[in-house]
Amino acid sequence: MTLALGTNDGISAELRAAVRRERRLGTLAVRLTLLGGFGITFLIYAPVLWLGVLSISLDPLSGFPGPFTLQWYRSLFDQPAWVQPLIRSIEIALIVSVLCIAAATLVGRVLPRMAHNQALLLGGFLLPLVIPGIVIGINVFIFYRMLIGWKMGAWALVLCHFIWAFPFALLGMLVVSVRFDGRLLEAAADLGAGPWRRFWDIERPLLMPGIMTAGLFGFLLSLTELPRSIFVYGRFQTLPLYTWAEASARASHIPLIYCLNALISLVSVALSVLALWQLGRGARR
Amino acid sequence: MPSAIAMTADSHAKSGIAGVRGRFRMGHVEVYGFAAVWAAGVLAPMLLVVGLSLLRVHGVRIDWSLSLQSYRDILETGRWEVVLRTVEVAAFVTLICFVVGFPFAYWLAKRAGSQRLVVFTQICLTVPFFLDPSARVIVWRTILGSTGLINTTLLKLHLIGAPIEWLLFSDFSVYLGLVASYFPNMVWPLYLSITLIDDELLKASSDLGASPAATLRNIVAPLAMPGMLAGAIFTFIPILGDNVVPTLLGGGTKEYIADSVMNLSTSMNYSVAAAFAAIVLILLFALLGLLWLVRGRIAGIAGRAAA
Repeated sequence: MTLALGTNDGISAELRAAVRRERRLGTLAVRLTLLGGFGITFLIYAPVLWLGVLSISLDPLSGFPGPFTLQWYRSLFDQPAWVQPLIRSIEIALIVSVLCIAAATLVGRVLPRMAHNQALLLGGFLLPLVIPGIVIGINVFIFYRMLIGWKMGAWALVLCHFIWAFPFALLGMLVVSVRFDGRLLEAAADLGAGPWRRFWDIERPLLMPGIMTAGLFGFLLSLTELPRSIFVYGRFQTLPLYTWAEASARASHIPLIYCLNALISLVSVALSVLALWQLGRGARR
Repeated sequence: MPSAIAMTADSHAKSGIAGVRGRFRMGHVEVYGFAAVWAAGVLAPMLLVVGLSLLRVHGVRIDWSLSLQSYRDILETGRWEVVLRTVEVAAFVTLICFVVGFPFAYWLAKRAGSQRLVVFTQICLTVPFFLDPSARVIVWRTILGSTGLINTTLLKLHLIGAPIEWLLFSDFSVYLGLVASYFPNMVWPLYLSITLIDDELLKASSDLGASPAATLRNIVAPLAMPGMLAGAIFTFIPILGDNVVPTLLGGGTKEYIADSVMNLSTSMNYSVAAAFAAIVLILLFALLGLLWLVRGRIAGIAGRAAA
């Protein structure tokens, strides 16, 4: 009995040591994990923050920030070469946004309660997510310009941006619509509501966070789209194409590009956080 | 008489059911209609390019005769090296993203605890999709360049005598730019597949005495396999076609697939450009096929376990 207890003590001491070792290893692993994950997340955001710092620095190419000035922003408003591309970008983005709302609502509200071909349809709609931008760009060019013979331009930008944005818009809508209770529509129909009433009075308000998200995703993804646009813009230069041309030409007025990019990034971050907040609200409901 | 009532009731019930079914089918026509437009306008062009790469093309005019000329061009002009180099870089960046992303996704899905922290991290990993790619990437020049932040700081601290040259316009800057751009693409599918793993399974495994390593190998890895493959596809394939990072951070000494496609399209050599696009798409479909097989296998395992 004493012997057994003694061994037991020995074992439990060993066990405790082992548990401690495991736990230390565990904390180390968790620390490394967090360091890696948040480290790379920092690498995503550090350049964007640095962009903001540089845009208010007098000599942004010197490597060190400051002395701080709003001079570059002021000259941005003296040299309005970017205004026309910005207006074009917003026009395209608004059209894409409306298209995304319509298509994501059309598909997203029905897809979760379809009995057949759900996976096939979803896969087909999401496929452009994994096709590189330049491949979509060149393919749209080859198909529509060379095979069909249509001139490239604003419509092709709308098409390419829609191809890129629709999967995101659909996913945003699905986050909300998979939680939609189909019995509500049944009840409304039993009470005599027609299809349009059922959509407008029941689905639209309940799916509103998804609809808003689809619209915001469409707007933002179109506003910042570059790789697809390069191949299809014809003569319709949008803002990302403008800053891309300036940036890859290593132009002398690069500080202005920093200001412009800082402003766009600020708007993008604000709008996308708004979209995600919307979506979170819709998903919790 | 009672039977007549019963019959009427019955027929009412039947029409009611049919009505419900009909209502449930509402919108299906629209979805299939949109799917048809999507297939014809978006998916068909993607596939037709594979066919076009097998035709002779002069400028924007197509000569309808079969030819492997564009693929021969890729082999003979040494452009295949571009494909190999891009595949190598993309695979390596995918590996880095996976090694860092898998434990991170696991932590986020199972260990993070605080819901607020999870939401914050989710937002951090989603916002980058909405940023202008060239705006994000070009700033690295002012951080890594010879007069950039890092070199200036190190010089001022007298830690180095001369600026470190390999920081910018090098393989290093390309890898850095790609990892920072595509990390969320890897983490999202991993995270989603790991959240789907039932906590009970993990608890049962550790209650039965399995070490964390054994649980990882026998429970988490097989169940998260679709997410791992989806993450690999969602990272690897878009990197193959990334044009922003190589152009802005690569310094132009090495060509990648995107550079080739852009140069070929500028010089109106569309059949070779189409061949490059076709190579990327064929790689994509091979990986998607693999994903489909793995999904089937896992569904099979789950089915047997349920039985």
